[in-house]
Amino acid sequence: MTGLIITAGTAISAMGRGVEATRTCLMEKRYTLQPDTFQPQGHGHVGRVAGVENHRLPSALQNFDCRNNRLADMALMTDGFMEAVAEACAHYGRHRIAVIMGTSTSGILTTEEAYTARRSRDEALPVGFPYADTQDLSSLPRYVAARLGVTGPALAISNACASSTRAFMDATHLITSGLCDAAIVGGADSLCRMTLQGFASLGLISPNPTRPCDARRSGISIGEAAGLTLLERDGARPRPPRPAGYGLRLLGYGASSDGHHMSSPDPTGRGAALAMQKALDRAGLPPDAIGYINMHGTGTLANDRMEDRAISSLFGRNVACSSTKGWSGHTLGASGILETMICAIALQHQYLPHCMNSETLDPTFESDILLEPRHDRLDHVMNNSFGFGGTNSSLIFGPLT
Amino acid sequence: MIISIKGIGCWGDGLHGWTETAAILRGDATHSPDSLKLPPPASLPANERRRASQIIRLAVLCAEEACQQGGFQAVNLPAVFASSNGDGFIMNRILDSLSTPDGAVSPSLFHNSVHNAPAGYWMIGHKSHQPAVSLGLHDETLAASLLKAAAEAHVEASPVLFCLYDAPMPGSLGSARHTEHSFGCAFILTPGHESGIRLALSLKEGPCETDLPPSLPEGVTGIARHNPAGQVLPLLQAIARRQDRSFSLPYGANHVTIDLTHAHP
Repeated sequence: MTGLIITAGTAISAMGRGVEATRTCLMEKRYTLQPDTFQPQGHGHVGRVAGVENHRLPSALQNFDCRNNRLADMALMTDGFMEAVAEACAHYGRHRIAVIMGTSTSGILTTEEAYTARRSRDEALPVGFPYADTQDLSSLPRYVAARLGVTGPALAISNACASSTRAFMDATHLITSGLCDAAIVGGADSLCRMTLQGFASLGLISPNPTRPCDARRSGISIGEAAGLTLLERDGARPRPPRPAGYGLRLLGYGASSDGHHMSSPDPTGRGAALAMQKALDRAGLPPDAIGYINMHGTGTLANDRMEDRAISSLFGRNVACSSTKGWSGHTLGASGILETMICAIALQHQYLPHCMNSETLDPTFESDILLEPRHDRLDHVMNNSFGFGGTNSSLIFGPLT
Repeated sequence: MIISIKGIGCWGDGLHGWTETAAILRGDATHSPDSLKLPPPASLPANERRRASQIIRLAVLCAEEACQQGGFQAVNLPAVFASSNGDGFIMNRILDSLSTPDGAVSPSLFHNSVHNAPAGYWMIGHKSHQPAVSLGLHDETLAASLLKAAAEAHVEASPVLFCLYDAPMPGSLGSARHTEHSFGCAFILTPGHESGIRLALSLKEGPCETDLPPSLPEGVTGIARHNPAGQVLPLLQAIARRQDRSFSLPYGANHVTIDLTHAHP
């Protein structure tokens, strides 16, 4: 047990703005990926958030303007999140609230555009180019803190695709050690050429919309997302009558390294299973207490096979699992926070989403992977994220009752 | 929050390991700046050795030395890796590639570009399954990450490997983010105050002023001033001289205070 609860939570992605839009998208099985028109020679499909290009940051914070912070700004204006943080500030004091944000590429798109605008290689970027407020990792937590008016300790977690899942563990360390009373925990990663071209160079972009766990899966579709939660100690203040967005109880966390390879997961799934086992140990729960696992499920051959092995080694066929990246695309460092909100939807509505786009389950898989949604009694859910560098994180949530 | 430092590693321009660095910081040896290419760390398997960039080598060499010096096995240590700039060399190469008409990037540069690449190499080198977090906070990376590492050691009741490193950004990126010299440092941190070098860390409201001690050797002052990881050098100097001292590091609207004491036998 961690003794920590999420009293406000929201996320935006190609699935929609906020948890209600995300829930509707899941339950109505809406199709959300689109051909990559983000870059001139784009191929494959992307999960793109509508309206980012036209979104404006407040004039006092224009120095932070970049696609990633716009996405974060759109998220924090959703589901009453700002109001919930204002109430927490009134109780704890703004200096007692930390901001822990996960991101893999922060606002690098701004630098990509500046490089393209150069007349020659190695030419200096324009005087006053806002590197610190855009591309630098600190840009995201400093923007979120400034926008929400909180002044506690800030951290940017950059563990590749496990960034915002891992951020919950780091926030727990800060709250439990008394360095703060509450933390804004989340993350954002936005479309950029580096990610699209980088995954293409590794041959990991699917020509079709991604179909995790399918026998014919052929890679990932990149997406973008941002999400935020308010994490605090249970019982530290009178709880608001209803959470803003969705609430959750953080029961356990676990992290591990593969120690195997930089960009391929350990095929045995040992590191991934260890992160899940540590999360179970921390929560004090046996494997059969978990009712649903939101998989990392990127849609690559190697990840999904490894994750199936890791899950079945711990849970057998007893726990329903799915990847929701067929809707959102792989939102990289933000996938953990987006899928945490999907876990909240699952708990609240006792609704287990399926693997969107996937029709024929890989016949070698041994876990209970959902190709159709299911209504089932659900007490505890698990959220997995794995990333380059062999970094693994797993979270367990229960309902906020 | 009280933690102990059980092992130290330190590499950088003209600084080849903690023993040599400590002698320079005490004034017993002179600092000769160089831009030596770092050797590939012995712990890495052949493939990773070949692919390890200079900043990965820097981080892994520091971590390796801290473990040896403290008598800790890498496989037993959760890790906190902290860097402001990450791998500027790789970022600049990728950004250059993306600005060409076909925009294709190298796959090995791409997978090495993640901020957690040095942590990944470290864990691969030791076939370790311990967790690692990689973080950064621009010029406040030291304050943020040392506090985080100390909190992790306390909450998880475990020793923690703390590894801090930064290097200059080349090319166009360098014009937007000025950094001089390569520098890295690693500590093995244990919760509480068993023995030896003890740090009491506090987060305090309000800003603070920081000044570099005038006693830092001339070349080292440049590292402390122009490399975000170099902010740890005044602390390292006090450790090298076995002096009890207090330091303040700005951290957003707040600051971190570090009270260093040595257990005198």
